[in-house]
Amino acid sequence: MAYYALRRALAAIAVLFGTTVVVFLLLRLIPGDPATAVLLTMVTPGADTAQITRGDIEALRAQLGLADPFPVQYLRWLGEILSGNLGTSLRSRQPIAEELADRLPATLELAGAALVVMLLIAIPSGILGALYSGRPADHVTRMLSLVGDSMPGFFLGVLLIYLFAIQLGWLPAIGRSDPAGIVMPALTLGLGVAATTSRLLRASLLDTLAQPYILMAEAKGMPRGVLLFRHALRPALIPVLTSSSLVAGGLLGGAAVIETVFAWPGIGRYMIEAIAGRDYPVIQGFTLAMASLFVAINFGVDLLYRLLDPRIRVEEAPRG
Amino acid sequence: MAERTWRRFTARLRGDLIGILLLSLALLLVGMVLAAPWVTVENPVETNFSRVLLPPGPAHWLGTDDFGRDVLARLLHGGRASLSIAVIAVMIVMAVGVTIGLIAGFLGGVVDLIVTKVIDVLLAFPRLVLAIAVAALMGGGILPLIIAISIVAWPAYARIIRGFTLQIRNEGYVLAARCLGTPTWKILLHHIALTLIGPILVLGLLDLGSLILAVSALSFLGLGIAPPAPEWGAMLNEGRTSMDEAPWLVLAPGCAILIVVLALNYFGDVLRDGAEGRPTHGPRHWLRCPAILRWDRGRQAERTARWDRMEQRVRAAPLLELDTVSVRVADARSPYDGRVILDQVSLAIRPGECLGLIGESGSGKSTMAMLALGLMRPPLTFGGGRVLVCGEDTAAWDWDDWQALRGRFVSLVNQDPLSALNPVLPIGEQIREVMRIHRAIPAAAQEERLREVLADVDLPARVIAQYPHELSGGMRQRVVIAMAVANRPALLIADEPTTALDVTTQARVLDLLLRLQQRYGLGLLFISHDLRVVARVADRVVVLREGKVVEAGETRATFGAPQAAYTRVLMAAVPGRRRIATAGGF
Repeated sequence: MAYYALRRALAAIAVLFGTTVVVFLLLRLIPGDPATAVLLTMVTPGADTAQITRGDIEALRAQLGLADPFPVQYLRWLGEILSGNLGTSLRSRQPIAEELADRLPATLELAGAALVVMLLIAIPSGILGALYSGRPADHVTRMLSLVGDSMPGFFLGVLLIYLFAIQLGWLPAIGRSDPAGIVMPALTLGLGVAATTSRLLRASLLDTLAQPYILMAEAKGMPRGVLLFRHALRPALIPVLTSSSLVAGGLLGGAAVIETVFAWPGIGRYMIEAIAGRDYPVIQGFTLAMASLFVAINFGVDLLYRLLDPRIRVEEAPRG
Repeated sequence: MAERTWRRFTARLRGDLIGILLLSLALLLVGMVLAAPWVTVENPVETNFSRVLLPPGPAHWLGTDDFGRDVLARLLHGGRASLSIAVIAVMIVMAVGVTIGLIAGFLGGVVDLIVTKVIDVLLAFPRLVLAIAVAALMGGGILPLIIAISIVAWPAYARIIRGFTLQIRNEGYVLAARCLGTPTWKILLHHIALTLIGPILVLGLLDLGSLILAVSALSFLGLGIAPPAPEWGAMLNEGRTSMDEAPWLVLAPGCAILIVVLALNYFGDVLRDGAEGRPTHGPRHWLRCPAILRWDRGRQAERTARWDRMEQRVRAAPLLELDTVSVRVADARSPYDGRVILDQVSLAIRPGECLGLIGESGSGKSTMAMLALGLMRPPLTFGGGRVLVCGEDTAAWDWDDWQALRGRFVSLVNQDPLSALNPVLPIGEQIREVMRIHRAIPAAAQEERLREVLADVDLPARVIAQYPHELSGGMRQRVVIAMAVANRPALLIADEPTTALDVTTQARVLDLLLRLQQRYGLGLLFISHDLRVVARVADRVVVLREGKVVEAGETRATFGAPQAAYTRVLMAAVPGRRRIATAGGF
């Protein structure tokens, strides 16, 4: 296991280096010259852009290190990142790492709550679908999960606001100041990812229930609860874990959209604000932070998977 | 393949009201979007402040927005943008993904290594996050949107196509083409790309829905077409501000996205089902109703009383008695509907004796085992007769009545030890739970009994912490036997217990079963197709053929002078039968 963990950790680190290259290259996507683009964002709106001289641009180019060849620029940037410096926001002039760290708890809180929502929906509906396969209960859960899969998160969010905040007045429409404020964003984000998990669990559980060891457990006189939860659900959940990469991606990516809908003060909204203000370093820092988080989650899930499935634990032992 | 898929697809849709409704709704919407200029004469971008925020009505079917623009016109014109962006993106993604996947899979080596690494890195970003970043840095608009969506979507395709290509590359006809000196590009095009075209199209179709969602999410965030040009996601975003007075501004674009994506996903689901075929599974009606809901004091008392009666009788009455039992298949959909599995079978197993049940496959042997455990399931149904367990008629028993007996009074050792144990539970746990469920004994006594049964079946104590896959087939069968005898049952059903084992292990497991039968005074129903094995263990034998008992009697008498022609045929089929008849004391 330690050997496997080490190998996976090295692979994850290699992928992380790859993501830094992609994120570095992202900045080259800005149309035109980055220095000019940055300068344009710094002038106050309405000011005469003709005031920007070639000298200004050259000075900024030197300051941003844009005059050096690409690999030199990349290595210098990588060095900064490794020492924890993600750059400075063009608008607030604050270190981006700090600004992200300030907002990360709100996003993690939302993602965590959404995960709970997802589990509360996906596990019961997956079990229901498998136990009643081919019957009305199965068709209903299947249809609901299709709707969940097809519903744009922002539409669901807006609908919930209209219903529960505007019409019924039960919940605050936006913000994090009221503890009840998390209910709707978590519901929206959680419902979006529940469908996939529910469907995977249904298929996996159906497969497990048809296994001979379930018949054997029944022949041993195991009662219903033990049969379902201990003998069938445990092995059935293992393959479902492989979908957690999809779930994590959905939660992290969805956060940017859902936080915008509910004005949730997390890093997703920070990113969208940065886009509106053409704050390029923030966009870059955010993307890198999200990728690192995603890689870390996938690494953790990978290890968990190995831990939960005893069959793989042995097969992966180093040979020779 | 396409034709078959289509046939399955239409067959599934026939009678599927929701599906037909959904598809026709989506087709109608898409049709109206395509014909937008002819459907509506309204200008989607022209503002008119004399008719701001009008509710839906005859003049404006979907009302107007806060600039006085007709929502229907905006919806239909906006759909052209949303849908065409997604369709263009899916085509780019397929082309790029397929080309790169094909090349990487076919060439292998360094090219493949680089491609897979690039794919790994791109998949290390949450899809939507990378798309947002790319679109944002490129400044928003149609082209950046298409590029952003394509960059995040192609790696998944390339990975799948690469896998397919690796598989096909080593198939006979491709190898043959290579040996004939066909140029690489020709092989790629003719042999691989054409084979893959079906799966690729299905894949693209399945993905179209998620791409439409991604496009609308980006344009919702303001990264799509610049206003005032309409687009569904952007319309929804604009509509949010006046949602409390004019909910139709949000509902119209939201429902449009939902309907199109839902229809695509539904279509995809049906296609996938058609391609994979509907899985058939045994009914699990017994699991559906939790025991707690069925808790019934009267039944519980009856169960306790019955158990007491049975304990008193267990030395005297037959453990299992079948009285002219018939079983047949009852399932109108099954091709075997009406087939008789057991035909008026009568037999009895007395305490401590071993009854051998012989028959070829399909003779109803295993149905007998399921009958003895109360595990007979639809489509099998009783056609008459009585099954008595320890003198109690089981006709009215339900799943819970049987559950109290299984593993305690009667237990099972079945054919395939490799799949009989739960792969994720340690061996010790699987033996312990039989004791824990059926009798409330202290933990210490339970541990002691666990070691005792393991010693009984000649397994070392270290297996307690091991998992099934760490043991050999013979060892696993010993674990199954240990589970079966842990509660000292009166009756053991051994359904082909040695068939899956190799010859030397077979002999050892057989000896073990006989030894345990002696030690615990087990009644043993030994089911096998192997005459020699049955001759060795059984006191009496029953020969079954096509559900009928053709011969029954003492083992020695039966094999010494078989009465039924079928038994003689069976015996003649055994190689070296003379030795059986003379050895082993008969």
